[in-house]
Amino acid sequence: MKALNRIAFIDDEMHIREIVKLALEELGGFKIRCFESGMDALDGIEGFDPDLILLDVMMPKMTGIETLCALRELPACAETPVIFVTAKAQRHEIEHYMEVGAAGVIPKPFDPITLPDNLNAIWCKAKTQALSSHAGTA
Amino acid sequence: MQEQLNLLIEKHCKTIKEQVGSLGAMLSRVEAGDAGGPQSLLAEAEALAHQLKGSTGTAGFLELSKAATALDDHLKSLCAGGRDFQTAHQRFAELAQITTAIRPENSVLYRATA
Repeated sequence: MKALNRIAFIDDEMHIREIVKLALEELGGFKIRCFESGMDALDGIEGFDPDLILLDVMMPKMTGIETLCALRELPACAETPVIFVTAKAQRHEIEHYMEVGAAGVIPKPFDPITLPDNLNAIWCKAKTQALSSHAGTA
Repeated sequence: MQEQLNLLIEKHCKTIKEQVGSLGAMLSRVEAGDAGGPQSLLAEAEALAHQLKGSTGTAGFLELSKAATALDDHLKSLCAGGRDFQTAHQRFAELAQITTAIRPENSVLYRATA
């Protein structure tokens, strides 16, 4: 299975973007591209071709869920695992995020130091499930 | 990485104080029944409190994040039609008090470097 390498992070809060980028690059060794909004991501994400998308839920103008739906229309992101990061992480909310296609949910505030390991774990699980699904239909 | 992280936390410290100041101004205008719609101002204040909750927590200011969470939860109830502005005022005062004394060293992620 291919290792997680390229992560797109979409969040409207600048300080969170800066801290997350630093932690994921320095501790996780990932290549990170940050976007400050859903619209910004739609403009530039295909060129980056991420393995994983980390997506804030509460954003002005275009919410995380709206962004996810729009990203699924892009060929490069049609099946890319998406992890939501959100302070709205009640049980019923998490269930809803999973229903709309998230591979996982990370509640805010999160610890940036353990974030790389958390993302790796969710990504591996998502990839394993995808492989099993494809094998089952082969 | 620690030096870079320290710099980001120091920068965020300044922004937090500005944001809490803005939040206080918004809440004062809401209580004063400012023209322009107290409901939309309240929603704006709640959005800022929500943002503070996440950004301060991610930057390691756990006490501050907890205070922002308490305020955000109460502002949500006001947005839903509640009228208890006194509790909002109290919770904001707690947030402001912590913010006044905030220093980068208060972040659990901040480590002095040689």
